[in-house]
Amino acid sequence: MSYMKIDAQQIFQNNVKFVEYSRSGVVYYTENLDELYELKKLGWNFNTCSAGYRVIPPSVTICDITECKKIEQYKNIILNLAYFNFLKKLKKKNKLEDYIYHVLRNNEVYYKNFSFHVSCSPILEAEIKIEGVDLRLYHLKEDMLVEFMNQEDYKDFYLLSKKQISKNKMYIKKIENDPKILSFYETLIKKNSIVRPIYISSEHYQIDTSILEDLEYDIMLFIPYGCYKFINLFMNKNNYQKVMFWEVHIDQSKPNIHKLYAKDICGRRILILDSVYSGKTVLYIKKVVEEMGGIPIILGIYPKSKSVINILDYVLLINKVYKKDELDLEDPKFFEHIYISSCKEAIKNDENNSKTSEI
Amino acid sequence: MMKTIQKQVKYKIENFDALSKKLIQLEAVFIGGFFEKTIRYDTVDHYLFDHGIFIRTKSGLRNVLTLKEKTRKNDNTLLERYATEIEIDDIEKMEYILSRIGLTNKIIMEKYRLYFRWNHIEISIDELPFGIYLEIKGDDKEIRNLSKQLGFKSKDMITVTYWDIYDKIKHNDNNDIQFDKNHIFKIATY
Repeated sequence: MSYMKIDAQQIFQNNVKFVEYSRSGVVYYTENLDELYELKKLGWNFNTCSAGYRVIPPSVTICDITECKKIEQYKNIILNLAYFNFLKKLKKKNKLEDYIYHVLRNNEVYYKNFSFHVSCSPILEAEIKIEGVDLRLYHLKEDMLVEFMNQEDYKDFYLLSKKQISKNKMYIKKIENDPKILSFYETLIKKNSIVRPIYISSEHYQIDTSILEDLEYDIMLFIPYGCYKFINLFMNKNNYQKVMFWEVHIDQSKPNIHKLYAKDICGRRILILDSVYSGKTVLYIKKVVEEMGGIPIILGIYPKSKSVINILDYVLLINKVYKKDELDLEDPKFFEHIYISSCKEAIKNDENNSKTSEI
Repeated sequence: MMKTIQKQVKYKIENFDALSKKLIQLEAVFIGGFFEKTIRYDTVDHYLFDHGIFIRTKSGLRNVLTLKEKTRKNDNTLLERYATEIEIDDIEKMEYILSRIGLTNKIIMEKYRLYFRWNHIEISIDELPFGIYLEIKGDDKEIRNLSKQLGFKSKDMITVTYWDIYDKIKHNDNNDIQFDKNHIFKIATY
């Protein structure tokens, strides 16, 4: 049986645009199921929309200095900062693409007919993200790191970072064992399973939310489905009953909208928690809450730029919630300084807790 | 001729968490995790094996064809081989070429590999169907230094290949090392 051959590289190269979440990337719209099938095999993801299928290629975070999981991806927080500084320097000099081409050239056979795109945006100050035409992107990520470690100036970057952080340490994780909260998660999973399966882990990074202890709020508003990845960071026995879910999309091509544990908003203080890239979704929901007579307070999770932090009231960076007004957003190395202080804090917490065992 | 000497040592790992902690303390860098399938080729009468020559294809991080040769040195301190490696596009085509020149005897080995770097040393934590092992590749001094820092003793050193280890512990005539149950390492496999 003959089947359709597609030129994924051409689709990739012809569809780089400034996408709706305010960064450059590849988005391709098609109604053709053959095409979708071939792209899916290459690792592309899709969702249905009014134009048929909205398809996006594989993407990876090469380096990030705002969220624990991404910071720990190389199991070395000293290296992560060194790598970030190295990549940032390349990006500033417009040399990052050249660096990646160099890595590709070192492995010409493997990367034959491979295309990539470095995502660009002022909202990506603290993260380096790239997209690729197929799953070789994951190997490219590894090769980029090895190339960095083989560079002459690697030692300089590493030593500078080590001077600031001193010790390699992973962030503390906690396992939820409160039966009421676990049962709350179970109910959420059950209810969501009707429309879309979700997963909530009972293990999560321990974050410092002490600044929220004095904050008075009546409702915690989470926005599915992204929220299920981080809801466990904020739950405790005093607040899980205040939770409400409200699915909203700025992108009208995503039709699903649901409410769960809906509550009366009018006259009440609503703590809106959402991961923020461009900030458009939180601004939109803030407006809706205000129109309904509620008093919104925004807690943005892992923003990647200072400009986005400016629209928030509170912000989660790495393992701590900060009040926006108490942050020095004028500092040109703001993210780096937050990173260094979080690392030092993690080391301090660990010092009383170290024990060794036989391998 | 791009023939390099590869030196390596292995250790059996009983406590994976303790090893992970130690690697973090030593500031090793995690590069990536992947599933690796190695196929070793030989003639039906094991001519290559008998002459200390090993030809294999490996898919995982990338597809490669490697020729390994035993070195003359055999002081049993480290596993040492000459290695000549080229990247290949298509494993199946290579398999066909090898079979046409008489290398029809194939044995398979599967493993899940977590790959780290520490300075210039390559560290792999390998999950095989018969256990978890640490493999260190580098020069003598570096290998010994890292082994010491990880708390291993000389008596723990394994200086043979996974094929040799399996050969000693297997309970049947099957030479293939393949998973018949779920693996432990939850790593991205592509």
